[in-house]
Parts: sequence; C-alpha cells; structure tokens
Amino acid sequence: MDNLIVKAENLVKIYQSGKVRVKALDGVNLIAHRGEILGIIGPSGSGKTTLLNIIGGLDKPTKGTVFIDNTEITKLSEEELVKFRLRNIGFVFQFFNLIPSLSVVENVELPLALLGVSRIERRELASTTLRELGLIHRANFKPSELSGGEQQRVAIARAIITNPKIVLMDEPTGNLDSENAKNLMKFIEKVQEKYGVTFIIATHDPIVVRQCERAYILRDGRFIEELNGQAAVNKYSKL
Amino acid sequence: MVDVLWLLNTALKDLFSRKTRSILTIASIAIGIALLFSLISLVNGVESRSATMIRQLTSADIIIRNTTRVDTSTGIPSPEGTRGFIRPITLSLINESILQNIESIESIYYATSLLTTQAYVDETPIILQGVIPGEYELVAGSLNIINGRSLSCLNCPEVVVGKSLMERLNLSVGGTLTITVNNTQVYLNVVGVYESGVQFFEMMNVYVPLYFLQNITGRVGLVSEILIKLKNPGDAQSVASYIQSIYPDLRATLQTAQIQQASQLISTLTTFFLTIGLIAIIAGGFGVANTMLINVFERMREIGILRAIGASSRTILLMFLTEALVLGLFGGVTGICTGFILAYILPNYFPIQTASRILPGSRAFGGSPQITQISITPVITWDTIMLALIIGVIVSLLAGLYPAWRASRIKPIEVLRHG
Repeated sequence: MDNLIVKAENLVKIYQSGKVRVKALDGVNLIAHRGEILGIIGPSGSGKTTLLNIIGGLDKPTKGTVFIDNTEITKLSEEELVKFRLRNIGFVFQFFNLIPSLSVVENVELPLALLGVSRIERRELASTTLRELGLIHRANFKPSELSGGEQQRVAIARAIITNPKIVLMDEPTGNLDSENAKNLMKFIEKVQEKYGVTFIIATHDPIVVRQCERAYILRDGRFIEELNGQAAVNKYSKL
Repeated sequence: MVDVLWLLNTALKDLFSRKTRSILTIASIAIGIALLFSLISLVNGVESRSATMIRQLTSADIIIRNTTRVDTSTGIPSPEGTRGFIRPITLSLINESILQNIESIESIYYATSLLTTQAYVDETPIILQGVIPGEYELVAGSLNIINGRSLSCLNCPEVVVGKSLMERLNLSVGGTLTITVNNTQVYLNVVGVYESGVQFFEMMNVYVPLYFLQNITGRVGLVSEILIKLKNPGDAQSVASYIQSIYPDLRATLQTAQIQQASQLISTLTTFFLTIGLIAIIAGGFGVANTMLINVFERMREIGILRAIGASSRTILLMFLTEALVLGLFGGVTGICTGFILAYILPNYFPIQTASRILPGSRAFGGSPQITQISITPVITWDTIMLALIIGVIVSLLAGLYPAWRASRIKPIEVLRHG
C-alpha cells in the first residue's frame, strides 16, 4: 500500500427503514493514491455521500473493509474512530458547517484545540495556514460575515490544519456560483500542491470533475466506470 | 484532551451569541441565589444580634430564677397591629436570703442579686434593673459608662441610663428622669450614661440601686434573679444541678444554654429559609436545564460537525457542562450582588417586632407587654458568599448534566444525514 492511501473493498451499505431495504452501496471497490484529487461522480441518490461517510469513518458499511494508510478503520470502535478522524481525516461539507459563534481563526484552530495543542501554538499554526491560503485578512471575522466561497475556503483550512492524510469533500461547490466554484477548485489545487493532501471529492459539478486526476462514476450504488476528470466531464456532463 | 481555557472561551462565545436566552437563564439562577443569600445574611444578623443581647444582659455563668408562674389569668388585648390576646407571664420572686446559702458553695467566685421590674417613661415601657453597685459589675461585667459615673449607693434615687434613651429624652447627666412605677411617679437623678452598642438594649434598660427599687415597689427582701460568677466556668453545669437539687422551685440557667436556645431557634429559621431559597434555586435549575436542552437541539448540526472532525463524546460533554458552569457562576455572582442589596433593603419593609412577655418580678405590673421594633443588620460572611456560589454552580451543573449527556450521545452521521 506504498502509494495507496485509501483502499475500500467490496463495500455494501444497506439501510433498513421499516420494511423497506435500500441498498445504497453494492460492492464498491475504490483506491486513492497519495496526493491525488479523486472524484466520485454521480447523480443525487447514487450513494456518493454514503461512500464518503464510510471512508471517513462516520458510518459503518454493512459489508466490506476500508483501509486508510494501512489502518482498517472498519474495525475501529466509535471512540477510536473519533481519534483517527481527528488526526488523519479532514472534512469539508456542502454547507460549510463552520461554528457560527467562533471567529474564522478559532474555527480553523478547532481541530488543534481538540488535539490538545497549546493556545499559542494553535493560534500560530492557524494564522500561518490562513496567511498561506490568503485568508488572514478575515481571521477575526465571524463566518456569517464571509461570502460562501470564503466560508468554504475557511472550511478547507480547518480540514487541513492537522495535516491529515486525506480530505473528504461532499459537494464542496454545491452552494457556490460557477465563478466561486472555479476559484475554489484553483484553491484546492494550490492546497494540494502546497500540502500534498489527498482530496476525495463527491460531486456532480463539472467544474470540480474537470480538476480531478481520476474519477469514479457511481450509479445506483455501483461504480460503473473509472476515467480521468476531463474524460468524465465529456462523457457524463449531464449527470 | 482539550484545555480548560478553550472550553471556557467556547462556552462564553456560545452563551454570548444567545444573549437574551443566556441573560434570562442567569436571572433564573440569580433570583434563587439572591433569595437564599439575603435570607441567610439576615438570619446571621439576627443570630449575631441575639447573642450580643444575651451577653449584654449579663456575663454571669449561672442565672437563678423562680420559674413558678403567678397571675396568668388576665388576658389583655394585644397592642395595635398585632393579633389576639397576650397573657403577660410573670414569675415569682426569690427570697434574698437564699443568696447567702448559695454564696457558700465552694465553686462560686461571686454572687449577686437583681430585681427587675417594669416602669414607664412617659408612656414608653422600660425595664428597671435594681442592682447592687460593685457586686453587679463583679458578676455581670461593667457597664460601659461613657458619661458621668456608675451607681454609688444602695438606697438612693440614682439612675444610669442608656445612651439611646438619653438622646430620645434629650436628657443629660445631672438631670432628672421621671418614671412611673405602680402608678406612682418617681424622680431619679441621672448620674451616668452607658453605651452597649445595641440600641434596643439601651432604650429598654435603666439601672437603679437594688434596695431603692425594693423600697419603691414594696418588695423588700425579694429579688428576681441571682447572678453567679464561677471560679471555673467549666463547672457551670454541675453547680447549676447542685443548686437545683437544693432548691427544686428554682431554675438555674447557664448563659451558654440561653445562647444555645437562641441558636437552636435560629438554626430552625436558617433551615426554613434555606429550604425556601433552595426551592427557588431548584426552580432556576429547571430553567438552566430547559435552556441547555434547547441549545442542544438547536446545535445538533454543530455538535455533529464537531464529532465528525474529531471531538470525543467526553469533549462534547465537557463543553456543555462548562456552559452550565458559566451560567451557574454568572447566576451565582449576580444573585450574590442582588442578595447583598436585598439583605439591606428587606429589613426596612419587614421590621422585626419583639414582645417581652416574660418579665421576672413584674407581679405588680398591669400594663400591656412591650412591643419593640428591632432593626436587623445583615451579617455577610465569606462562608455565605461561598455557599451561595457553590450552590448556584452545583445546581447549574446538575441541571446541565442531562442536556450535556444528550449532546455527547449525538452521532455525527445521523445529524449530517438528516441535516
């Protein structure tokens, strides 16, 4: 697993709602390499978010295994997963999900606070990250005072502050206009180059897909194809 | 492990972001604390005042009285503003000759006798204390004479008057105090003024020579009390028991017992007020629990995000408990400040009235019992402040426990899935 950072094998996820069984994932296999931007592409309800949640250890698969950097996270307990996520996985959600009562810099340093890093050290690290990402002028603003694009960039800063192995993004441009979506993808490329983080992005936005080195096409809980980003856009632009 | 400062900062910011709700929650705790704090401070004031008054009355180790009741048949209407009838309870007097027998007891350092009776200045009731100059000071302690001198004779119309009464009557040393005893006017030369620090005491008690008082009241050879000072105050209980075994009709009371009785009454009062205060605080606790639960429901998504990025259930629990702690601290401090003000304001609206119903030796007295208004100064101690603060914090923490636990059980996937 030298260059592999994520390896998911035969993932099955079945939701039971009363008498109704919904198979959200049906035998999905996925690999992600270190430092790549990997897309998971599919229409709404195809199982993208479910797959992302299982890779991120937020949800357990009904069947199958997930390895992240040689750790089988599907075997970890709830509290072990919490610790694992804190150190190894960053999350970026569609609705930014910053803590509204905290300032930008406090939001960014949040994972460091949870790790028990001292106040001075975490403020220094958060400020450095914000400076590098061109957000330092917004450090003391409240999330509500930022634009959607800025909030999403702050969410990315928060996701990478602990230097995680992977960053999982669920529809990161879902709440942005196309101009902001393009700017965000440039920003993600910059972060990837600077920090060498692996991004796994669930999306159906062609602007995002175009920037992905590889993209898995997901439909009805199954991968139907694996393409590079541009090819995926050309073939599945109407997903 | 997250640090305490981060927890505090996060809690403060969250509470600040919901100002109105936080203020109302703090107020609900503060009301209970204020009530508890002011009531305890006032009870402390009453306790301190009563102990001072008992000590002012005498510093004798043992007081002997004849507790046989006489003349309890006549009910007289209560003074205006009070209800029902009050029956003045008068006690039998003691034959002065007993004093000699008592003085012969080995452990006794000194004994003296005292005749107490009621008189009037204008229409205000006062208590005449007939004492033996020299002896009285040895047993009961010296009066703090601030002007003039002490009594110097056994059977002359001299009087030592309290500073407050002197001021009220606009008298001065060398002047004449006119009193009415048994419907007879008596003129007394004011030879001295004493100060006790207790206004009520100074207004009520005037000192005259014992034999003079016995003569004008027709009680020659009779006294109300025998005051005893012991060589070793530790022997008080055994000496009192011995005296009672010789004179079964008499009751020997220890000064410590009087203070204990007052303390017991005050302890009952404290428990009563503490219960009222605690009920108010518990009601405030429900306010905290309600606010915290609403916070948890409103912040489900936020908690889910925190859990997703790596906050343990313990961290979430600590975050909400810290909020409860902050609410409790603010509520406690606000309550103490409000209680401080209340403790000084309340006595003005609810003055304490006392009626002296037991008046030794007032057999000849036929008037109504004395109704006196006592102003209570609250006694605020660090113990009371700490107690109020600790109770506020504990109630708030207990109230926050369930909401915090609920928050810590939130599964991120459920929140994120359902938005």
